[in-house]
Amino acid sequence: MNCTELPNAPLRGAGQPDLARRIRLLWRHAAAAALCVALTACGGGGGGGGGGVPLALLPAATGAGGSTAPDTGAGSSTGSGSTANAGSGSSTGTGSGTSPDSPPPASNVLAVTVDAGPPGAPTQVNIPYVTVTVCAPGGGSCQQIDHVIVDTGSSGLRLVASAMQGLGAFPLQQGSGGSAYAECAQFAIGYTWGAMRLADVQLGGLTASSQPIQVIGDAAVPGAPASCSNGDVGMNTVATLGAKGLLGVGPARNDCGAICAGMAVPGTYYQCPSGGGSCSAVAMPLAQQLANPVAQLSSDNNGVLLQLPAVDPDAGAVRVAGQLVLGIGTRTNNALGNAQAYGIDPGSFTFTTSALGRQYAGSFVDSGSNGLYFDTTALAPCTQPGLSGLYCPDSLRNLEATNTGTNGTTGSVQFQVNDANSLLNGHPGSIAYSDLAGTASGISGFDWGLPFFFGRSVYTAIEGASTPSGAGPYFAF
Amino acid sequence: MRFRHFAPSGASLLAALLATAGPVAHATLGQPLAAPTAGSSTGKAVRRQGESPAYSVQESTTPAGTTVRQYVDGTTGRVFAVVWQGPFLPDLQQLLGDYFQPFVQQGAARSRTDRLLRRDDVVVHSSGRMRAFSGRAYLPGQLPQGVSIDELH
Repeated sequence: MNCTELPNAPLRGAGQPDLARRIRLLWRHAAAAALCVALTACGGGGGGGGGGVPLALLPAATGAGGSTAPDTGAGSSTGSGSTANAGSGSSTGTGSGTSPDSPPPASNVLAVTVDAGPPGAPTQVNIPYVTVTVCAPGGGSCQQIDHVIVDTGSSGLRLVASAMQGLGAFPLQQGSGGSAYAECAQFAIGYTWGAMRLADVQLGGLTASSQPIQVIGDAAVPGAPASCSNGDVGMNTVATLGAKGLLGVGPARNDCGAICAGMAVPGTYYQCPSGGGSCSAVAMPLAQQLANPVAQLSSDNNGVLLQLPAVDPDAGAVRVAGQLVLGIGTRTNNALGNAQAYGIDPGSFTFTTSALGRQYAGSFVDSGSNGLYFDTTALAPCTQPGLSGLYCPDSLRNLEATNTGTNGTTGSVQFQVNDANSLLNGHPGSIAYSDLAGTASGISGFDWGLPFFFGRSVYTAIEGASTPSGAGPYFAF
Repeated sequence: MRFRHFAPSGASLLAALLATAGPVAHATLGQPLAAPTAGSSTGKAVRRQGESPAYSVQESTTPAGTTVRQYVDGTTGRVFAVVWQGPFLPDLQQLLGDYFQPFVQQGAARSRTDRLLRRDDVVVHSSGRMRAFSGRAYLPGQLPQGVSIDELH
């Protein structure tokens, strides 16, 4: 047993006790002791464990909890009483591909783990992590950073400074007069802030050379300016971000895009004078913006495939192993198969979903969202304290949605919503749930978060990239 | 700026168009519309005149392209709801006023893409990610009579 026990410690910064409570729901503080079984898979080290787990051809529908064999192999999901199964398809539950003499994973594969998160962070549910290696440009100072969130809802690599060593080897992106460029990334629940540095980014066996990355909490630049923080919560530590970084592999080539190249947008890019003083919002050319590192690879650079096995709809799973495959249709391990490509709006990267008698414009697929978030009156909201904004139907609901891409592709998908109270409080050891859902604001689209990925192969094609199903941007499943 | 006046029922309305362009009035949830402040965006104004409009809508767009609609009670002149949509978050501190801190401190952050504060006196829901943010805030107890939340979008 080599698993890290997460202390039930207050989270977020000192002096902000309310914030720990604020995130109590899905950023769970439960201890993770005794949850892990496969010791070699815990901690995210090594970067390769589980990469060889065959996950191809998972069934399209998240099915009932059929097989229940707990996993025993390294890199596969583990569980005390919970399951990771893929119905009639293959699953990590077989333990295959994990023997010591199994072949190494293909160079375009990164192991993905849904687990309790890095030490020092609150335990969160439904967060997919990978290990990324960064080196100084040209090599040197290479280091593996585990527990980096795979996020199809953003673009670019962001790493927390405290999770890196020898930052000085990673050159600052500088402007005139020795000024340093910094970036602010605003999220619905707070912001990240830090210097822009250059790094060689290794994903699996492939490398994107000399990429701009955001080093969150980097002391090389002053604190976040008011137009970035805007009174909101800083997520500038492993504890507050809940991860050591974010790997944005969304449809966008750059995180902001043309608008930030053309004008200074508060809350995005900043220039910090060398002699101190406050940083000012500044326009940033595309070439210097944070870039989706996948698009910068020399091969397998048109998008990604994220594959996660199905999990039991009632019990969830304490740990899930899957894979992030680089490229779409570039090798046999990322073929599109029967997946349909749903074109998305080139500005907002959204499509349209119809479900439960309602149409949701502005819908998107986001591995960085830990639930299915959509507004409906057809599902009962939870009434329990701490579950505000989640759905608590009486029993497991089998639902169907129809998605329509901007390219005219239409298709239906099955999804499930279960009682969030019984999931979260009835199975407190679990960390992955395929049927956790919550409300949305009523004007937003359908957020197909991580629950949608379990038991599916989901492709994210980069804007303008050529694929066997046409040019990106699109989501395919 | 853009004004739309609505009557609570389907009364026949005489519509007049007032096209204006100018700075945006910075208003705050629960407060009266303040005087316009220079340096913001411009917009068009549309005024539909009828008997006792329930509310008007002031719409503005930030230079970076995020649209903000503020719903103003036709009787009290106070903002009872705010809706936003666009590539970047608007200045929520300014739009939400006294409700901003409770939203930040007590709102449930279910994911990086979603935060919700639901109290008896105020509901704030912010969601999305860069390039596609949206949200809505309103004061349930101050909706003009006959006005449904569903029309605040």
